[in-house]
Formats: sequence, structure tokens, C-alpha cells
Amino acid sequence: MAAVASEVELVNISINGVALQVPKGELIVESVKRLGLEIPIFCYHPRMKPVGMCRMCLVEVGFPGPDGNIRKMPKPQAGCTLPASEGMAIFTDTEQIHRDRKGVLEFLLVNHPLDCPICDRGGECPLQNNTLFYGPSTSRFLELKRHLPKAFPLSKYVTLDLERCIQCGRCVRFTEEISGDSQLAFRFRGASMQPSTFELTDFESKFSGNVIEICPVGALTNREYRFRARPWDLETKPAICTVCSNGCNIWFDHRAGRMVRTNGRTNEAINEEWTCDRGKFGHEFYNDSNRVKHVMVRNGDALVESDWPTAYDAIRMAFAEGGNRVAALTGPSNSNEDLYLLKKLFQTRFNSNNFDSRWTTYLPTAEDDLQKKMGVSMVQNTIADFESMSKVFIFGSSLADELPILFLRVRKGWFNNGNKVVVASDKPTDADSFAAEVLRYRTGTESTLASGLLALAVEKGLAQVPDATRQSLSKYTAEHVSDETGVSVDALHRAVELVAGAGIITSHGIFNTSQPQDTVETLAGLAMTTNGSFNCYALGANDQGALDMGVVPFGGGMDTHSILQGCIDGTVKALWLVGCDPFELHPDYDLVEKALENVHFLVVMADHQNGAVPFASVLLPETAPAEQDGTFTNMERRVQRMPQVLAAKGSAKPAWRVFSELAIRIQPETPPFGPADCMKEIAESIPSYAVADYANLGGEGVLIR
Amino acid sequence: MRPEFTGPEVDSFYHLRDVEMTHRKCRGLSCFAAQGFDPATWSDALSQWPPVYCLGKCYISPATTENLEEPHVEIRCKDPIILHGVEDTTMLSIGGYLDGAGYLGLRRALNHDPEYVIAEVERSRLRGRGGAGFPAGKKWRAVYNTPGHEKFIVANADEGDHGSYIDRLLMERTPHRLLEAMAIAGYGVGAAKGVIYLRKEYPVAETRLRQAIEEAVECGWLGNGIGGTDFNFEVEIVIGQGSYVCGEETSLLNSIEHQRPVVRARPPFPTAQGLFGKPTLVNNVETLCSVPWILLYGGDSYAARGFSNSRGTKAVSLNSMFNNPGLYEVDFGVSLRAILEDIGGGLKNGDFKAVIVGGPLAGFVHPSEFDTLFGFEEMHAIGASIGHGGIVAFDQGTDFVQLLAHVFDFGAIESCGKCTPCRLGTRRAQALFSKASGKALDAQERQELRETLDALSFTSLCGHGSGLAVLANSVFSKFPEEVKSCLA
Ligand SMILES: Cc1cc2nc3c(=O)[nH]c(=O)nc-3n(C[C@H](O)[C@H](O)[C@H](O)COP(=O)(O)O)c2cc1C
Ligand code: SF4
Ligand code: SF4
Ligand code: FES
Repeated sequence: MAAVASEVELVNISINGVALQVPKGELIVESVKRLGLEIPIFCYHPRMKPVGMCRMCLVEVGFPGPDGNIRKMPKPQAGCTLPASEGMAIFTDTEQIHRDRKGVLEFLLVNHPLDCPICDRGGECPLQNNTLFYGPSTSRFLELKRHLPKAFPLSKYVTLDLERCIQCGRCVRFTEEISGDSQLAFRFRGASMQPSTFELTDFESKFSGNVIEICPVGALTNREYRFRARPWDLETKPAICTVCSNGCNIWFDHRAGRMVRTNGRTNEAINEEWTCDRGKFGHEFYNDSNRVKHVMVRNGDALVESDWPTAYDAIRMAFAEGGNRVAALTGPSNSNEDLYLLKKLFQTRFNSNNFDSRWTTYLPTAEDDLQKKMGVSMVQNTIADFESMSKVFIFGSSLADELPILFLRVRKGWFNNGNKVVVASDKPTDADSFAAEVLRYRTGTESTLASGLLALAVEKGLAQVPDATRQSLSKYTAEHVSDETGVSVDALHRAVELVAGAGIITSHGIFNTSQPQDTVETLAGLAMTTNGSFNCYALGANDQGALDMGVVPFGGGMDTHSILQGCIDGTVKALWLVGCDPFELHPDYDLVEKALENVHFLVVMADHQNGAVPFASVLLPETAPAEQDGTFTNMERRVQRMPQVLAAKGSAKPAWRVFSELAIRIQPETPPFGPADCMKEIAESIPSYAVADYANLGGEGVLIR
Repeated sequence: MRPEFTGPEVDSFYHLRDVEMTHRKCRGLSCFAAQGFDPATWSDALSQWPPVYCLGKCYISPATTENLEEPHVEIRCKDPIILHGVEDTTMLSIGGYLDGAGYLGLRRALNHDPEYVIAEVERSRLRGRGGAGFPAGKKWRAVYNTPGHEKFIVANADEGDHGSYIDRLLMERTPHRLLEAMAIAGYGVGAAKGVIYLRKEYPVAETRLRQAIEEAVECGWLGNGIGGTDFNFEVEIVIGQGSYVCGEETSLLNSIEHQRPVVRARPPFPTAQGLFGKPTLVNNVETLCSVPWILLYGGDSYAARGFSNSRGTKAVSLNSMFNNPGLYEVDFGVSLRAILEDIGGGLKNGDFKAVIVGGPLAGFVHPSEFDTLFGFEEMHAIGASIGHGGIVAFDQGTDFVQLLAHVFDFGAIESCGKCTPCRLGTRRAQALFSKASGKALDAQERQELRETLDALSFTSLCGHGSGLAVLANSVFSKFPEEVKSCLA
């Protein structure tokens, strides 16, 4: 931003007599913030285009006349649509302005039910606050109150109360400008105007929850949260969402040990201020009744409540043989500290490298590593990079489902800057709606399509490759690729111009397709040879962290599939499942079932009941992400701290502590005092993580490169 | 780059969308004034839903769609500029229009470069006839100066201001003049496409314009390579679906784009980012219809007519309250009295109580002000306007409180709803005026009314909200005796 700002033309303006310089064209509603002032607003939202609807932000405007005196314009102007220009004199605090604001507020109050005592928004409502500061003391016009539907359900998550709506249009504009699904629209005109779902269908959006937060009154409310609590009863803590790998920043509201709701928290590098519905409404499990709270040990057919020392002893015995006889599999939301200490436990106490964090059909081997093989990193761009990247190529990912916040950023780049987006996918995706080109290929032809694009780029002189590569690409003529993939020759020709030099986005989901390693290497090659960039992003909350921590069997251990197979054929005797349900994560249900039936000793460590529990020899209660302190690495490799918000349930412990306690029992050492100590240890063996010291982890988190 | 919204949400904005324009009775201000002539029709108009405001037949108010009587048209100035050919139907077809020097203005324009065209319009000192009186040359220059290979000419034919049927007659009798003017404008500012946004209430104008377009295309005055040059220009007609605010230029542009037709905040101005974000010239029909004459006889000749800052001539339309209702072309600078009494012949029923010039968004004129000279600044000085040029007279029987209640009902029904004060304040003011026509308001209500009008006047986004306040305020200041029941 700073670099850009220096090129921008500045103009001299004054605000309430104070002179200052601001970029030409900056909206006055923003300029006043430079002086620490605030103009009251309802319809304006800094991340959306200004519309000047509510008229709350009025200011008086003047310009110096020939005699040097300021001449005020006859009428006040809306600060939210007023661009700064040379010589402009702004007044925000005159008697006229106070009268006008009061007038506008009074109109809004006329139509407002003033049911603040039972409104979810009570205590955090801009209307309430603006009224307090700028409004009339009482509302008149009582006989004019409208009677309209209250609590009309728009969707599974969102409820609309039309009596409270002040027609600011923020919700409508959000679906037009930010999420792009245009699910909301205004109907009718004048005083009858009301927001509604498009054609009165269900509000089907992957981002609907955001409108609850940007509604300046309590007209849109959270159906799950409705009446659950009042804002002033809540305690809130900054946290991160652990539903996917974007790592959105959230406020985690809780009360009496229970999760109440989450709201978006600003992090310009990641989610700006948005969340997706999967995340926003995906934290209900904290309150579930099926949480695992106690240590249980198998006694015949039953699991009976036990204690940690008993469990530790049983595990020590079962894992004593070590080496290839033991194994561990991890899930998507363990912290870096958990994962690192698991690896350390296995390597130093069990002499084993049998651990894996990956669940895709194809599991790249140590030799497949792009960094070693091609000198290319799997993650080259940050989320924010995609805002200014003029060409983006989304390959094989339904981005709005897999990485919703990255999807919003790519869309923003298109909406605001006209960036060109190409989508290659075997199914329709949300990004198709704004894509410059959509390549719909037949499932299974991913690598052919990638090779075809590279071959075409070479042919057109867009990519420089060695002769050997050129040779190997020769069979990928546009016609051949078109026949195989079903993408037309014309489309290939049009697309190649846009994908050459593009920022490529694919995800670990690609490893569930056929010949994924070819696809990945070809796409990485395409990026490398055309001066683009390549990214194959992780999907689970801390999948990237698990790779960084080395929870992959590259030290000579077995991978996920071999481990499960080993359980069946008896080579693996003891298996530790850390925060994962293989039935949900693994593509082969039968294989999992046989493995869990056959393995001699199964440790299930989980925060809630899952499909593996019935097979457990020992069940260990693990704290869920918000119940322990730790760090998560998101898909762009940004490390963020998830602080403990809620108390541990029952006798649950953080996984890292369990691994540490068990390690000491096997062979004494000084244990890490807490997760911050774990991170120090991590930094010693993984130097790139030195920057992730807990002292540095405020703000936007730190990027690992 | 925005997705385009069509569908029931946008449709629901318009009140005449699924309404046939038959058996409609007008609820406009002129018909309010003339309700005594035919109380039955007026009471039908009040109970009809959806309402129609101004059918452009104010010379026979209270008007209905079924009454097909045509107005009296007369030139009351030295040489006609704008009504030439409008008195009869001789210029309906292209042959008649060409005989009357038609398309020669365009011919002349094409013989020069675009800069010449812009300069002529500037020299003419022509001002916008759509309401604001903005200098046309300045607007043309702005569009001309904005770079862009795609630009648009939009003719505002939404003539919503009650009392005015000027644009209707211009389009019905001399449709080619509008087409010629748009082509000249297109050549001048560099646009190849023109759109006429025509209100649904004018079906005859639509038929005549469509036919004229066909003829002009056939004769090579529209289409590709006009007059043997490489200038191309085509004209399309878009029919409104019933909404007064769609006459406001930015709302009109949204309507053409199938967006929700609400007023856009300015800047950016349409001259920079108008239709589909492209530089666009929006002019009223009458403004445009002056242009062929200007090109033919020169901007200076046009500027030589009129007086003060109001140059050229103006068409005015008088409603059925006058002895001589009809459409007249007058020189700027005559007195209002000359128009009302000499031309209009005074009222059928007794003395004037007041007149309103240029629609409901302007102030009333008191009989004591009738000596005011007819000009933009001169009318402005007495809190009134030239507006569209429709003149509605009110006789002694007029009840101003009822009148205000009626106008604010219109205001509330037609508010686009975008901005808070107008969306909610117009209805509030209507409620208070309605109440006041039964019994006097109490002190608190009077205070509320005052504050409501102030908020409308100072905080509205467009002229709809603020204009209505101007109207009410003019009654408060000029006719205090009439509004004692609600004056604070
Ligand atoms: C509420 C409202 C309604 C309007 N209706 C009309 C109309 O019906 N016809 C018209 O020509 N201008 C109308 N205008 C004025 C236009 O916004 C615009 O000023 C005009 O089309 C510009 O053309 P001109 O410069 O030739 O006058 C209206 C303005 C407002 C605020
Ligand atoms: S529901 Fe809320 S955000 Fe939407 S228009 Fe109404 S007040 Fe604004
Ligand atoms: S003043 Fe009325 S018509 Fe104009 S923008 Fe506001 S609500 Fe719409
Ligand atoms: S915040 Fe400016 S008009 Fe609403």
C-alpha cells in the first residue's frame, strides 16, 4: 500500500478547519478518519461501493471563493459518495449538520419497532448507537409504525425481520459485489421497498452469514444464535477458524463454557472481515453431547472409564516393540505443537517413522517432492496476492467449496481490477460465473489437459522448454487433447494466452484424480516456464502444518495406505489415531474397517465420538482446537496462534501434552512447559519456523517461506 | 462488470408493468385542479389502482385514456423554432418533414467537423428544458471531451411533470426532428447509438416514432454511412413501465440497463460514466428538438432570440382551467401575465388563486408575482421555475391543504425509496397534511411537519424529495392563510 500511495496525487482539503492532504478522490467518509473523527453511517461499508442511500453521513462542503473565503454549497452532501478534491472544505460538526442527521435518524426510528430489549443486535447496534449520539430523545410518529413479518426465515442460518430493516442495501450489495451469488435483491419501491431473496427462493449462499454481521440493525439475525444470549452477556476472544485451511480470523463468543457464535474478525491478509458459512456455522460441535471427556480402556466388549496413568501404561506396553510394528495417523485440525511432538515421540521413543497426515488416494513419495525435483515450491502465493494478479488459473478445484476465502479474493480481483480468471474443472463451479474461460474436461483427463496447455504454450512461444521436454510434449497436439478431454480446440487456444504467466491454483484434492503427480508437475512446469506461479494448496485446517512438521513417512516409514494394509496383514500391531476418523477421511471404507478390526491395539484420541471409537483399545479425550493453545499453518503457510478460549472438557488434554507425558515415562527429559516452548523446539529442528516464535504471533500472523 | 438483474425483483419496482393503457383516469395535478369540471371522473381516478400521474392531456383535465381530443397548438412568437410543424400533421412523414427543411441541420453538421457542432450548440446558449436548465453546450462538450469509442445519446422522453404535454406533441407531430437532433448529437459527441426513453403513457408517440425511424433508415438519415459520410447512427426506443423517478436521468439510465431504477449518486456524472458506464449525453426531448434549427440557422441566430440568460424560445402548455388551453411557443422574456392572460385568456372560473409552472417539484406562483418575466433566473428569483414549461392554474376553489396531501401522496407513491428522507418523509408529510385537512394539527405535529420538510429539503439525494419540499414551502410562505391548520 505504501508504495502505491506515493504515486497517488494528493490534494489539500480541510476538515473542520484543520488542513490536511489526502489522495485525490478519496471518499470524505474515509478522510475524516485521518483526523480521528467519525461520520455516522448506515449504508456505507468500506469494502463495498458507496451508494449514498441512508443520508446519515451528511457533511457541509465549501470551496474558497475568489476572495479566499469559504463558500458553502447550499445543501449538505453525503460524505460517503463525496470524493476529495483540491481546496475542499468539509464541516462535520455544524448546527445544520446536527439538525439534518437528527432528521434522518428520526425517519428511521419512525419505522423501527424499537424492540431493542429483545433484539439480538441490542448492545452492538449502529442504529442504537447513532441514536444515542445524534438522535432525537424520543421517537414521535408513533401511529406510523409498520407491521410487517417478523422472523421470516431466509435460509437455514439467516432470519429477516422486516420491521427492523432500514433499507440500507448492505445485504443486497454484499451478495452482488462480494459473494457474487446475487441471492438478495430489493423488491418494490418507495416505502414498500424490502430486501428479499431472489425470486423468493431460499437464500442459498456459501457466505450468507456475513450479511448478519454487516446489517446495521438487527434485521438479519443468526437463526442458531437468536435469543441465545445478549451481546453484553458474552465473553469474546480472538481466535481462528479451524474448519478449513484458509485460517480465517474470528471472534469466538462464549458464555458459561459454551460456544455461542463466531463472527468475522479483520485480518487484511486473509479473510479481510468475511467468513464462509461452513466456518461461521461450523463450530457447533463444541457444545455437542457426544464430546469425548474421559479416558476409557477396553475391558472385554466394553470401554470402561479409566485414568491417564492406566492408559499410558497400556500404550507403553503395546507400542514397546516400535519400528514398523507401530504407526500413527493424524487428522486435519491438530496444532503444529501436537504434530511435532507426535513425530518426536515416534522417532525418539518408538524408533519409528510410521506416521502420516495425508488421506488422498495418491500419496506423493519423498522422491515426488517438487522442491527437490524441480526446485519449485508447492505454495508460492499468498491469498492477498490474487487481488492484484492479472491472470489466475484455477485447476481442478471448486474453489468456493474448498477454499472459500481464497475464492472471495480471486473474485474481488476480478470485480475490482478486472483480473482474468480461467477455470478448468470437470464439474460446474461457482467461479465459472466470472471466468474469462471455462475448460470443462472429462473426469480423469486432468494430466492430458495440463500437458496440452503446456504444449500449446510452447508451440506459441509463450513457454521456453528444453528440447527433451519439447519432444515429450509432441504427442499433445491441440486436436488430440481436445479429443481426449472434450475441451474444444478454440477454447484451448484462447485459454493458453491467459494461463501462460498466470498464478495457478490447485489443491491437494488433485491427488484424488488419476495421474496427479504428472498433472502437478506439468502445471508447476507451465508456471515456471511462463513466468507464472504455482500453488497446490492444502485443505484441512492444519494440513500444511503437518507437512511442515514432517508428519509424512519420508524417513523410511509407511504411508497411510500401507499402514492400514499393515494393520490387516499383521505387520502393524499398534495404531494411534490422532484426532482423525479414518472412515470419514479415507477413500476406501472397507479397507479401514478391516484394518481397525484386525489391528491388535488401537489408540483413538479424539475430541468427539467417531466411527473408530468402537474399535478402540484405549480412548483418549483430546481437547478441541479452541480448548488449547497452539499454532496452525494455513494454506498460504501463514502461522497463526489459536489461543485457548474454552476450558478442557472432563479430563481431556492437549495432544502435545499427552505425547510429552508419555515420552517422559519412556525416557525422562525436561518436558516443554507449554506450547510456546514446543514452538521453540520446533524452530530448532525446522529453522523456517524460527519466525513463528510466540512473541511474534500477533497481528496478521507470520508467513513461512 | 455487474451482473444484470432482470426478473420479478426489478419488475416489482414499476407500477404500470402489467397494466393496459386503456380506461385509465389521470390523477395528476392538472386534473386535481380541474376536478370540479368532472367530479365523477376525478373520483374514479382516485380509486383506481395502480394510479396514473399525468396522461399529457392537461388541456382536457380531468383526462382519461379514452378521450382522444387533440390540443390547440399556436405560435405566439415571431418565428417558430420548436413548434414549426407541430400545429398540424404535415410533418408526420419524412416527405413533409423534408419539405420543411428537415434533416438540413444534420446535413450541415456533417459538412463540418464535430468540433463545429459542439461550438454551435455552445454559442446558441441553449439550456436544458428537462427541468434544471443546464447549459446544453457544456454537457455536449463534456461528453465530446471524454475519451471513449463507445458513447450514447439518450433522449429523455419520460415527460412526467404534471401539466406538460410538450414533449408528447413534439414526438407525435414532428418525430423526425427528434431523430435528426439525436443524430446531430451523435455526430457531435462521437456516439453511434441513441436511445429514446419513452413513457408508457404515450402510446401514439411510440407508433409515430417507430414509423419515423423506419422511414429515416430507409432514406439513409439513420443507419450506416449517413448522408454519404462514414457516420453511423441508430436509434432504439425503450418504453418505461410506470415510474415518475425514471425521468431523473441516472434512474433512467439504470432503467434502460435493466437495473433497479434508483437514482445514482453523483459523481460520476453520466457525461463521464452513463449508460453501461460509457460517456452519455442525456437531454430532454424539447432541448434536442431545438438543435436542428440551431445547426441550420446558426447558434448566434438562436442566441439572438430570448433575453437575459434564457435564449431561444420556449413551448408552454396550458391546462384546461384556462379559457384557451393549448400548446404555445413563446419568446423568453415575455411576462408571465402575458402568457396566462393574453394567451391563456384567463380562467374559465373567476380569478387565479395560483399557478404552478413546470411540474410538482417547484414552487407556486402567487397572482401578485404575475409580472415576473418568463426566464430561468427570473422565475427562480420568486421561488418558482421554468421546469418543463407545463402551466397548471388553480382557481379560487382550491383547497391547498388537500392539494398538498394529494401531491405528497404522489410523492410517496413515486419515491424510488433509495434515500431515507424521501422514502419515509414523503409519506409522513402526506399523513400530516391529510390529517390537517380534517382538523388543525397540534403544536407538536406542526413542529414535526416543519422538520420533515426541512429534512426532505436538505438531505434528499435527488430533486424528487427536495422538490416536493420546495412546493410545500412555497405554499407556507406565499399562502399562509390557506395553511393555518398546519403552519408551525
Ligand atoms: C424526480 C425527477 C424527475 C424528472 N423527470 C424528468 C422528465 O420526465 N423528463 C425530463 O426531460 N427530465 C426530467 N428530469 C430531469 C432530468 O434528470 C435531467 O435533468 C434532464 O433529462 C436533462 O436534460 P436537459 O439538460 O435537456 O434538461 C427529472 C428530474 C428529477 C429529479
Ligand atoms: S436487512 Fe439489514 S442490511 Fe439488509 S437492507 Fe435491511 S437493514 Fe440493510
Ligand atoms: S429523493 Fe426520493 S426519488 Fe430521489 S433518490 Fe431519494 S428516494 Fe429516490
Ligand atoms: S453512509 Fe453515506 S448515505 Fe449512507
